Amino acid sequence: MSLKRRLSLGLTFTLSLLILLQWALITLVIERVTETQLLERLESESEGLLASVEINPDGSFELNSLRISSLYQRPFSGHYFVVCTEQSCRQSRSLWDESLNIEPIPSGKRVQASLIGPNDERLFTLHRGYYKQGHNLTIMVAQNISALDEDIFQFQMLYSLVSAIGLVLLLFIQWLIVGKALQPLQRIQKQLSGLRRGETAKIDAKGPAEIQPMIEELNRLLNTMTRKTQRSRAALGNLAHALKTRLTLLNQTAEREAIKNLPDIQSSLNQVSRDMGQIIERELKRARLLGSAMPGQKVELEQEIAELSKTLQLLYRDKSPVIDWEIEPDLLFIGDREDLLEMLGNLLENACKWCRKRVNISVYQNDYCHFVVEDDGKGCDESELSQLPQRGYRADESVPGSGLGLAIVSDIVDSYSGEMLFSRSSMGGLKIEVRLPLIV
Amino acid sequence: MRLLLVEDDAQMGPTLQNALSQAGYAVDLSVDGIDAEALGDIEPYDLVVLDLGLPKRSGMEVLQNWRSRDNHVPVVILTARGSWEEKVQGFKAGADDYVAKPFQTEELLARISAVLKRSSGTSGGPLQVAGLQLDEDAQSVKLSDGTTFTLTGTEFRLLRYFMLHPGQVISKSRLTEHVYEYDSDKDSNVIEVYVNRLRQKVGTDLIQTRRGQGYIFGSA
Repeated sequence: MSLKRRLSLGLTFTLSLLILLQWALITLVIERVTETQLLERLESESEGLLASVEINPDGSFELNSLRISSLYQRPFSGHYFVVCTEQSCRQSRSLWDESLNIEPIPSGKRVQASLIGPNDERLFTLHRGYYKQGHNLTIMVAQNISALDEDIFQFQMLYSLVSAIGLVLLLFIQWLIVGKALQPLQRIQKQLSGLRRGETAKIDAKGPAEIQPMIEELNRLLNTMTRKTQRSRAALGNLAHALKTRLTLLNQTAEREAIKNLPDIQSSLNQVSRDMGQIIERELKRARLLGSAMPGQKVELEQEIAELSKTLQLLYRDKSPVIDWEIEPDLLFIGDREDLLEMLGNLLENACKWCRKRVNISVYQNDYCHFVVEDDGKGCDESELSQLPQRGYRADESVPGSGLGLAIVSDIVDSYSGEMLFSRSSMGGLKIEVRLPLIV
Repeated sequence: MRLLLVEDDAQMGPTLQNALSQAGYAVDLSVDGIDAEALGDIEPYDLVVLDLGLPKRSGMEVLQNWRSRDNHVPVVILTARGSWEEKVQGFKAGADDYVAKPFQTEELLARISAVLKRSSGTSGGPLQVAGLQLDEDAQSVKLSDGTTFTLTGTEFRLLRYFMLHPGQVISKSRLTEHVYEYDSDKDSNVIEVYVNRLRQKVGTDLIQTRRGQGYIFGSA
């Protein structure tokens, strides 16, 4: 999982939780506060009613109307009461012809409840039991809370909306912050893949303090590796140069008059020098191979193949082979240029050596990078096909050559973990297909 | 044929120079790039054998400089690296052929002779002009009637130069330049002596004198 995704998910989760908790708390508190206030009001109403009750000696009672609020006089005002003794009940004028259920409760007790009143009003009620002048009284006070509920509901809606918008805004801002904070990493990531594709040689991007040391270390390693490779390539080149010059000297020594008269010695000297030359050639070429270990470089295939073809046409001037190439447009091989030239050079030289007149090379790309080289020569037998990449194996001893070319190609293909297939070409000759894995 | 051999190896240079001289070439040896580049521009060489790994200036650079100054002297590259990258570069820079070390003298001689023939417009195979056939290995000439004469070193050099430039008027000084090394005694009277000796072998008609201009081979 990417760092950005991880951070975003974590932040989204915690922010959502926080906002949700806050929303729940505020909602709860509002409900509680309104209810408490309502209860306090109903309580004092209830006390007021108790004070207005006057009990007659026969047990009946009167309500002193002067002490009763006018709210209870107007019909269906939303404020109601019912007062009961053991014998009778009185209810407020505001109830008009409706009535409310009331259960007698013992004095000192209080019960609060919600019930449906006249005209389907939602009522909040408080029952209280009293004891006055030797009689048990039950007083119920009720208030219509429809409007209040409506207000609370509207407030909650508004508050939820604000919370939701706030949450979205916060998430957006945190997404921006995370993106911004990870931007250097993205630049580094882009450069890394550029590095692998050979577009750059080092990472230029400045990273945050936590990552900068890693970048520096990586650059240092890259630098060391490149320098080491260059040095060892140069050293190998020098070694090859020195050894081969000495071998040429040995050849010249073998051509001296004194040795010319000893043909056995001369031919064995020549043989030794030829063998040594081949060993040096193959082993040093192998040692110079980079393979896919180092970051690759872009190679302009079309241009390289065109130049190779021109060179081969000059090398095989007498035959002047026609070399046709077909390269998938926009295809860019990524790898070491020298390795690629060595591979294609040997493949094409082999084809030019065996062709009658025509050589074809096509390069295309799917999961692998395919190089197909064909010629119109006489080709090989099935039994010979498998022996072709062996060092020094020469399918036809009558044509000059070291038998090294395809062996070197095989080394290169191995170093890129690719594969090499031999078959018969529709043009008549040999068809060699090299598949190299793509560097992504 | 006058050759410039550019080879820095102290042992190989002289040995190779010797071998090339024996094969009938007038050979100048140069051991570094700057010297070689100057020589190649001043002297009218017929061919240069150029090693690529040279001190002071690389062979590749020398070749590029010559070509950029329209010096089209044929060049055979000698190199020990033998990578395709270098081969491509060498031909791109204008080389005519390429010999990888280690080589045998025979191989180098064959390449040199092929390049010389190509540059003078003659087709491959043994050099055959006006009924004469020159055997470059044996340094002998076969006449149309089948008789064969061995040639001395200078005779061979002269005849080969004539045969590679048939029908052209060649001045004595040009012959001297192309038959002798840089530091040898160039007395053009000696050339007359050699031309006369050659005429005795291949027939007087084949090499005609143009008074005040020089010689012309095989025009008759």
